[in-house]
Amino acid sequence: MIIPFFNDFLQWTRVPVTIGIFALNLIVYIVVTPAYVNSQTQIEDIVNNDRFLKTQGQLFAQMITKSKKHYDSALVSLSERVNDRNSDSAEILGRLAMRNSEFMEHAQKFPYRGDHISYASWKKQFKIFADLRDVHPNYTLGYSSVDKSWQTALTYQFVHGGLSHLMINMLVLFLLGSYLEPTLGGPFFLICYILSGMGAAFGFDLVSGATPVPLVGASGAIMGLLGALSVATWGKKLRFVWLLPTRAFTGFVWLPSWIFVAYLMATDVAGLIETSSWLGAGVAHAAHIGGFLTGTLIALLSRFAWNSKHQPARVLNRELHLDSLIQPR
Amino acid sequence: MVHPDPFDHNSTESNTPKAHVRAPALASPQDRLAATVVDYLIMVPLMSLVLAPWKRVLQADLVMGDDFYFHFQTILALILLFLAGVLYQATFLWFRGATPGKRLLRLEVISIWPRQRLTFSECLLRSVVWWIEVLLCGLPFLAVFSNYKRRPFHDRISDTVVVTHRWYGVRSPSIMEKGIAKGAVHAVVVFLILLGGFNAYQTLRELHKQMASSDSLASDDCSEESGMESSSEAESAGQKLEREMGLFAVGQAATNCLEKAADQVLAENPDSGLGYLGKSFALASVDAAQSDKYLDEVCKVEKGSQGCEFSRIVSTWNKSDWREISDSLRKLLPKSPDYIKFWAVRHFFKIRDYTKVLEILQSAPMSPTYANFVLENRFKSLLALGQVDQAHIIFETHIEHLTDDQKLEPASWMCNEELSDSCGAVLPLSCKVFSDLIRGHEEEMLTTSNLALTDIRIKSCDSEEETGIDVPYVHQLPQQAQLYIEALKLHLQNKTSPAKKMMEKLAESPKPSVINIEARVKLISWASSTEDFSKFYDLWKREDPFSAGWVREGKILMKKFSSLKNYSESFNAGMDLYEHNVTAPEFLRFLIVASYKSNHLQEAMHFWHQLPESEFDLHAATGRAPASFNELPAFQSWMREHEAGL
Repeated sequence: MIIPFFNDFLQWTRVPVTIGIFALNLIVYIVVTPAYVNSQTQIEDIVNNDRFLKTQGQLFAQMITKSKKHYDSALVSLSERVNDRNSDSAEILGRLAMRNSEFMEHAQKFPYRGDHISYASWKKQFKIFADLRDVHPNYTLGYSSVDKSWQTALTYQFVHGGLSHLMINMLVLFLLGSYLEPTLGGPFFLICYILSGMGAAFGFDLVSGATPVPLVGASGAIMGLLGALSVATWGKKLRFVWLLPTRAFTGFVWLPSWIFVAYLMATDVAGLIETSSWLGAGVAHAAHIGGFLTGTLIALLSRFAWNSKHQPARVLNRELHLDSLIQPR
Repeated sequence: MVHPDPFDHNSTESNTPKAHVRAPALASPQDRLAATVVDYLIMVPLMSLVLAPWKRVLQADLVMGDDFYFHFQTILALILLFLAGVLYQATFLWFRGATPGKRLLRLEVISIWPRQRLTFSECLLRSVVWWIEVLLCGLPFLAVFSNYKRRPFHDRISDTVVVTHRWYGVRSPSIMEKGIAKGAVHAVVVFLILLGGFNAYQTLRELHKQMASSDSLASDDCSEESGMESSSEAESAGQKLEREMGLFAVGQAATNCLEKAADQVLAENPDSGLGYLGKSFALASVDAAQSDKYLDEVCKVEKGSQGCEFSRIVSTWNKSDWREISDSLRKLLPKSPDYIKFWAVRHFFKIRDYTKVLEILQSAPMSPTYANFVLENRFKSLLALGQVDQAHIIFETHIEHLTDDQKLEPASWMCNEELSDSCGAVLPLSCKVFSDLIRGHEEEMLTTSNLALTDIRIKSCDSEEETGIDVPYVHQLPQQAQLYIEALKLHLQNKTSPAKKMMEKLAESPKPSVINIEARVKLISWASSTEDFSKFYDLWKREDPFSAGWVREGKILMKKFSSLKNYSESFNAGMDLYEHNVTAPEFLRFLIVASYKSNHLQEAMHFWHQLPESEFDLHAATGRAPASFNELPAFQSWMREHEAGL
């Protein structure tokens, strides 16, 4: 285990904005959880129903067969299997249909050819599903192809899909915020955070195309902070703590700050390559990359704009702080 | 030429100017482990980057269910992973003398020969062997605890040694350290060998089982399972569905096949009544409400058709009077497809209208798929009507065409049926077929309670009163059957009350089965006091008259009451049976005695007219039906004879 460990990690009074962001996230989480749990269980009931999925898969297969050019070749060959009455394939295609914005928009109006009864019950459940989306916090606040606006690009950053998601994001926020906020200054930190989050949403939309499954979580914004950090400390070394099975068991090590860029970009680019757009994934790698690039860009621009010896004014007064953090050459 | 000791840096280099430089100490195993962990952390993102395109393909293959390409690509990806790992290590060793992890821990890999740096081939060899050691569960790495210079195999083969530039190093392992390490390696190796052996044994057993069962199990492929002539290519979706529904009606089709066929029909024509009927049948046991919806839909798409009529009958089957249903079925039957015929056979068999069953079966198709169903129902109906000889002719002509495995099932239920009244009714043929079949391979075949029970009953008949219950394969049987045999044994040993308790438990079991019915029958026949009989009689009256075993229980109750000279109760039970279509001659003779003895002379007369022997008396009398028994001298002697028989 090697994790970044900055000096100001435990000095809370210096990081009001970080604490504010944390509080906002926590409040949103607490307020939204009852509605989330309620609608999520209902949605899962529908989505895990075999017959619902099967009919949906058959419907989607018919949609694909009608206009083959609009869909991925894998989806087309899957739909051919469904048309041959392969019920497993129908269920898989039914699941994939949920990730296809074309399907989610036009499915209800598509003239389905086949069994009236199962279509009627599918329609009923799909209606319930569509109604649930108006209540479900992930859909109302999250950024998705159905709800693509700058408002949702802002609000999605403060919604999380579960406690562990929230905890991990907040831990990283504190790790970075405790160093970056005093370095960059509160207002600039906040702007950087918010804009990176929005950049992440638009990057996600641009690279992998927005899906009906909403994008939620602070990770895009946090990646932006990482980008800003790597710009602010470029060419210097940062302190990390390591926990390894050596004689000393634990200690500190100074590693170059570009380690962040290399490490995270490798992971996210790999993630982006390995997930097919029609299959989707649990982690929005494109959003991570978008956030990171936005944060980096903002930090770079600020350097040029201020043109103040590579550091924002406030940091220059805090040399002691920097000395303790960055290894002197 | 004498080679210098490669480890003795002091002596070999004592003449060089570098002599004062302290030789680096050996790296500690802990540090080497930590370096590996760091390398791992660095390699994970790199590897995932390398493997990302493959993963994408693999996911697609998995979703598409393309097994061949999935395995192919997996192997390819693993080879690539291996190569990438080797390249990572070899490159860093060649350029920097240490991987990044080792650099972080300030370790270095040096050659044991006094020269400046490693050659590339040494680096490559070391990496390849290192990765092979990883594949061997990392066991060879443990040599760092036992080797003199802490050099595992990858170090020895490439003439390298790992040293540290930290202030602390380690010496060669002590004797104790060596001993512990070697012991640990031996223990792990033994453990792995045992584990591997056990797994291999398990796998072999599984394989063996699969091989054995693959012959008997029907394949998942729906078109093969039907076993019909290979005309399936030519037949249309509608014909296929009709065939599946026929199979379903005789209890042979898998519901998923039926549903598949129905889906196919509905995809071709969404307004096909047959398709909805098929869907409804397929869903009947899974989701009753949905199944009813499909039934209703049939009449919506095809008003007044045969399918619509049939769906109405099916949907009201549980609710309305069975007489009405029989009437509407009779109207529907001429020119109806097979599945309706088979369904009707089941209905009429259940309400004990055996003549109608035989009539329908006359016109039924005799394809091998339906053969067992047709045979079973025809045989059982003939037996129930008392036409024993006829039944056996049918059985004999049919059983010749079957293989041994196929014979077992019909032989068992025929044998079972014959034995139901008494051991005296055992007829030679089918029971003989059954006994011949099971002799020798009892353990494999008698795994269902039904077959086991048949066998037990034959044995108990062979050796008069249930002494032949010594069943050698008892542990192979289902638990219920085991308990049943246990109870029988207890009863034989005159331990009546525990035996009764066990039987009661079996009789009350919530899952209806053959053993269940059998236990109830045994309980009745074991009962001795009058109160017991009236208790059982009350229970019996509350049961569903069309459930399996109801007739058998009723008959035994009748006999029991008669044997206690309680003829009025016997008559009541008999009348119940008669009202529910039980009209076999054996039963009627019994009922006549009971009615006569309990002074129900008119009823006795009525039943007498239904017997074959009454024909003689009709002739003896003057061409009209006799009004009382006094006019029938033959009856008196018949009566005397049968009374004695009771």
